[in-house]
Amino acid sequence: MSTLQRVWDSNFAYQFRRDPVAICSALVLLAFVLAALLAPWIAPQNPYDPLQLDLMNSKEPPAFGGQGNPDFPLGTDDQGRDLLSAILYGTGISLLIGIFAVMLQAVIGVSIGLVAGYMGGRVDSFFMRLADIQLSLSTLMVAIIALAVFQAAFGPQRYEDLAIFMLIVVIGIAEWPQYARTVRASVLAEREKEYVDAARVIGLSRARIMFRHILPNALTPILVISTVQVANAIVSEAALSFLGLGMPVTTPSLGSLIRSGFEFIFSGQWWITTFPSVVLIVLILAFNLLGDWLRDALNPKLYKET
Amino acid sequence: MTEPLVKVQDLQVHFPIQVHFLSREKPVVHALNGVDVEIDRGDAFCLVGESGCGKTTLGRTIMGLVRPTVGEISYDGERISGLRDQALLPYRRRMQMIFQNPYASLNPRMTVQQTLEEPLRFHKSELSDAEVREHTENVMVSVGNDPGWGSRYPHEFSGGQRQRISIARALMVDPEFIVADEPVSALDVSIQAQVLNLLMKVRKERQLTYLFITHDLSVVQHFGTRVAVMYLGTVCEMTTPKTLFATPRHPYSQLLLSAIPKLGRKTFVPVKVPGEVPSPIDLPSGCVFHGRCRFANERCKSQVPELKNYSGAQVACHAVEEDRL
Amino acid sequence: MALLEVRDLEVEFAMRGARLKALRGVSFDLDAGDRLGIVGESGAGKSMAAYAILNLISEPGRISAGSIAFDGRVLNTLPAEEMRKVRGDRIAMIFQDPMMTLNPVLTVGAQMVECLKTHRTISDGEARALSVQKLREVAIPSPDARFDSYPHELSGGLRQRVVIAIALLLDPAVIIADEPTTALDVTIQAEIMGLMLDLCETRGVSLILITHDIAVVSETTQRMLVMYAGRVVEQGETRGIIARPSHPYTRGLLQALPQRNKPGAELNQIPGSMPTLAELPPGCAFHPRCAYADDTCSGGVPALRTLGKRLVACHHAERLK
Ligand SMILES: Nc1ncnc2c1ncn2[C@@H]1O[C@H](COP(=O)(O)OP(=O)(O)OP(=O)(O)O)[C@@H](O)[C@H]1O
Ligand SMILES: Nc1ncnc2c1ncn2[C@@H]1O[C@H](COP(=O)(O)OP(=O)(O)OP(=O)(O)O)[C@@H](O)[C@H]1O
Ligand code: SF4
Ligand SMILES: [Mg+2]
Ligand SMILES: [Mg+2]
Repeated sequence: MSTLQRVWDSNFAYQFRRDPVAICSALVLLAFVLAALLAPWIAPQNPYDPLQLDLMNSKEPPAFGGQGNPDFPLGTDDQGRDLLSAILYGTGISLLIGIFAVMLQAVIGVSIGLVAGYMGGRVDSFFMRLADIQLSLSTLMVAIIALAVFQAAFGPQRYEDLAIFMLIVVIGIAEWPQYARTVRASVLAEREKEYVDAARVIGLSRARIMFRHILPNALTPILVISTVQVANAIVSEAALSFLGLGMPVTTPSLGSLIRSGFEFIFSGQWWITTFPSVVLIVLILAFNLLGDWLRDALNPKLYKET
Repeated sequence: MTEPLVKVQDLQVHFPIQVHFLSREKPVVHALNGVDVEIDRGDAFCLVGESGCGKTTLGRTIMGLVRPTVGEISYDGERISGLRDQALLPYRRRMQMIFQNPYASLNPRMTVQQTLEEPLRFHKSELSDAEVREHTENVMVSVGNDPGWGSRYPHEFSGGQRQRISIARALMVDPEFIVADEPVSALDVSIQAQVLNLLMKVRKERQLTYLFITHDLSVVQHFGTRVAVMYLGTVCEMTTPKTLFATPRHPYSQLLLSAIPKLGRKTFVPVKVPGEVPSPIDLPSGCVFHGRCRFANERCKSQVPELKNYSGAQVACHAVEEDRL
Repeated sequence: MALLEVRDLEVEFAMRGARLKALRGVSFDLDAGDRLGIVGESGAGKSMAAYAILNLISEPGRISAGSIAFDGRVLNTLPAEEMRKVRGDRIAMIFQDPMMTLNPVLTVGAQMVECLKTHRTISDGEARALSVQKLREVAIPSPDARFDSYPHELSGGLRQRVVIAIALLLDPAVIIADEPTTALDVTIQAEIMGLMLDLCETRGVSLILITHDIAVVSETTQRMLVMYAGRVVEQGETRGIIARPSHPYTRGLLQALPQRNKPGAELNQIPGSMPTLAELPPGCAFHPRCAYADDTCSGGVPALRTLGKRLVACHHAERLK
């Protein structure tokens, strides 16, 4: 109880409560996560089950227009898939890829940044040059090459099963330098502080000082970039899927849904592309707004503990 | 005479400074230029001098946080400079350090209890949880802290309270030697006295030896048993505080003493220091103080003076040697 | 009428709906050529008083009561534009950190010339000549060369001198120095203080010196204010206060100094620490730490009253005599 009370009273929570944008974006994200988690129970249909799909229902317009079928509130796609269900499941897949890819980025990037920042010297130069090289190749370019190679190597059938892992790995690896740089910068600042000397005076090992003492103090910027990175990863995934290198149409993510509807956009079936796009935009916007707010709220210059 | 506890011989520490990576120059900061210091058991050895003269560097080098460029350091007769981390471990529990900035020297993400327990669990892993807790409580009480503070975080405490927690951390492993780097400089006058009293009390109770770094001469007079005055990486005078205050010999010591504001003095005695502050990057030749010294002559400009004994004080000054003051 | 008259100055901060009074009732007079010291520990409100005089308090803070009159004009109601003319021109401020005044990307000279040109109609050549002269007056070696230096090329002591030179540029009537030497070594502090006193004496400039070092105030000022938790607790002639403090806090501060204790003996300490503004105790803010405190002290805030030639805010000031 007292912990809850402390959290509620903290400056952080106070600033959160006073910022309607932060509250809204957090609520929107929460709604998306809940919807994605509960999709199997709330979705009218399981879009991955071919037996539930009926080609007869394909390209039904949204129900609210008056002409559609009330069974499909947002209409259906060209396979007769209920768009609402597909979006619910697709949001889940997009979030899953986004979050796991970012976790992978964080693990790689944080470890490298920590070691580079704390050890300094040659180790530091080596990893930072590596990061420069990685950054100079754009994420999308690396991902396109890697995924194209995988697709060719595994064959389309097998690739479809593995797609989700591949996307996580590729997006995860392509963006570690963001984390490495951020972490390194805060490690360089923390390393000079006297509590690190105090730990060295005790005789603690380097690994222990890095992980037990420095890392917890470098977490704030990690948290801030994580929200934005999740958004970026989701966008990358959508872009790759849109290019046909991402999730297959049988288990669509938001990106593959947009792609699948894109060819019909000029033949009048605008809803297939539009609804997933709107969901994607709102999702990304919410992540970015929350990230911006976090950055301001946790900015040590603006935030003074009293 | 018995062996000194800490013996520093001809210690030099140079820090490379970053220049343009294509430049062939490799300039260094001469933080310490041949320092010889002996600290006897039971001493409260004070180190004074102006900002940037290398006081912290000397303390940190003795603690093994900085590697000496030249020279060696022995502790209790054994050479400790240049030892590997592992080989240093037995000394780590005998020597501890207290830092200047109470706001940076405690890990903000660790509770007071975690901070205090860490050194003990590391060095005495055979202790049971109950023993660790009991020891922590004893130390907290002995430095005048409420043992109930354990579950709180450093930001909940004032500067003076944090400094008491830092002192408690240093005392956890029952050290015999403590380097205190300006432990009261960041504190208000009314709190300084509390912390100084505590440091004196634990020194008496535990027979500690201190290397006490400060720039406040009144603290030296009150607290120290011996004092070394440093200027630009060298020791210019080493004596007892009493002798220093009664008869400062080195021209820099004299300058320093004349510059401290005195309570209740009715007039302000202006201090005029000729010359420019020298830089530790381009070290002056000869005596490092010659550019600002009223007594400097040609010899001072070319020859480095050595610390020599003069009844009760060691002074590094040609003018003192030649009796020109 | 005094040159600078501060009356019942109050500064208040709106924090999370609550109002914190960072300054409660500061009053003093400053005549031409007077030197006034303000001492107190960190957070006592010393800087706040200085900022309030110059109308530099920014949101969420504001001057909530009191008045500041300079040369017969009330400053705290002046429009911003008028105030800017007074600030820097007639009243100059020196901060603890010279880099608060100096712009790191401009040369010393450029900043001095800019300052002159904002307040005076003056040609470039004259501005330069005047600036170099001021640099010479604050004993900066080779002022002509320093005119073209960047702040980072100067040592801490030289930087602070440049700041003083800038403060003197427009021949102000009052200089407010907020811990001008705290970041410097004692030898440099002695030089800088000597310089400032010299300037005050030769030109009749008034000085408000803010510091937490009583010894500095004791050597350099004629009158002093002791502040505690936003209030003035003792005010009067410096020499008298140092010799015989009338407030338990002043007395505690003086007795805690190593100079006032026998070497090696336990120092007389004031227990506890200064409360934060949000947790001010009722009655006299000092009572939890005070050896003289009784129920009267926790019951009511002691008014700042006259005692002999001095002002004291303590219920039991007579007992200290
Ligand atoms: N890690 C470092 N890299 C480069 N230069 C350093 C480093 N540490 C210290 N120095 C330089 O070495 C000199 C001595 O510094 P040191 O911190 O020992 O001085 P100090 O006497 O403790 O001063 P202060 O009173 O300001 O604490 C200074 O010129 C400083 O700039
Ligand atoms: N922006 C602000 N918001 C809220 N409170 C503030 C703000 N600025 C200052 N204060 C409070 O006002 C009080 C007075 O501060 P002030 O800076 O005047 O102290 P000071 O006596 O100058 O201390 P120091 O010696 O540390 O400079 C402090 O308690 C401080 O916490
Ligand atoms: S009013 Fe009371 S508590 Fe306050 S200083 Fe005087 S005696 Fe102490
Ligand atoms: Mg230091
Ligand atoms: Mg201040």
